Amino acid sequence: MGMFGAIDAAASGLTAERLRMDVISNNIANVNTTRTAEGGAYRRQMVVFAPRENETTFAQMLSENLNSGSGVRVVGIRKDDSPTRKVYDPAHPDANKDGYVEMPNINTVTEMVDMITATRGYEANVTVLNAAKSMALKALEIGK
Amino acid sequence: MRIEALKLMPVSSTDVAQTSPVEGGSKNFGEFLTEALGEVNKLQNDSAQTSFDLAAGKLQDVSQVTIAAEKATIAMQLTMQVRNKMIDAYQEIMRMQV
Amino acid sequence: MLDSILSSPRVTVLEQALSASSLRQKVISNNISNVNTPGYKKSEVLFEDMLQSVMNDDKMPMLQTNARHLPLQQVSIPTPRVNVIGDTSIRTDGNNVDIDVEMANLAKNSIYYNAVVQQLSSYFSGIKSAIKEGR
Repeated sequence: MGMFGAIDAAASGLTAERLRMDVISNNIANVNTTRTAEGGAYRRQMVVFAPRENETTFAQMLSENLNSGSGVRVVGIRKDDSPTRKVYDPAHPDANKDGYVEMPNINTVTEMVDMITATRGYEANVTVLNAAKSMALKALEIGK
Repeated sequence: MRIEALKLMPVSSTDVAQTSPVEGGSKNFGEFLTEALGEVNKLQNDSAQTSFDLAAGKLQDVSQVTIAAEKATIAMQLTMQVRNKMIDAYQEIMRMQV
Repeated sequence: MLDSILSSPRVTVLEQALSASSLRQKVISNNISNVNTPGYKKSEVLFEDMLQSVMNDDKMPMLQTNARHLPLQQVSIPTPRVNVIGDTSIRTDGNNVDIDVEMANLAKNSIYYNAVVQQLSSYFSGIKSAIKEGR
């Protein structure tokens, strides 16, 4: 993975958690949005993560079999297709003919829990990065 | 312990002036030193190679470069001390009154 | 006589690596200070890959089989170059600085700088101890 593999992996984790935080914040801000450009209520967005594949050259595959992967990448931001909530409110401008308003399928509690997970994940990645850096700097003190 | 008077002891006539080479198996000191110098040179080259790898970013771990440098330094200092002691021993012998 | 000790390939390569590393430190701190500037594109310093390709193109083996054989004498060690990455964009304001990646690069650069400094200082102290004959 090279000299800085641990640091690169931690950095990719930081970027991924930060993106997840952006998505969560967007979801919470739009918890009452009933009107979107493509019609209907705002639908909850989710991020999809996948492990980042090494772009290994043939020479690398021959020389080292100890490849531990290089972090996480964001595959994409998907819309949650679960059904939206229907609230009965005939006075609402976006009410349909039955008087129901389509509200986004966002549960604030779930988003809060996700936010805490993202925060802890971010902090854990920062700890890993600091630990990797201090390990490398300690290695330079051999023989001092 | 009984103290005896000094007696004149005859000098035993074994050949002590000539140092004969040790027989069987072990190399003499010159070969030993040349081999050690070759080892020091090899370690210095290894350390230089890891330095180049560090500058080009090809290393797996920073400890490789520190350990290679340490090995080369220790080998160099040990060989230097052996050489110093040898020179001191030679000068000591040259100072001896014949 | 002094040239082969003081300007040996090892010293020149490590010196260039040191200047590349301090240039990279400036570039990264410039990127971080511009993290909220609209339209700013981040820069990077290219050095290691250029050095590696120069070392690979050199047909002479890097390992010195003879102590008097000086590789890298004919080839020139590349100077570090600042490159602006203008094609990616992760935000709507045209700014493509990712603060996490820049902080990680800062950590990596600090390790690299310390390692090169340690190598240079151990080389020079080895030379000094050989001059003093270890006494």
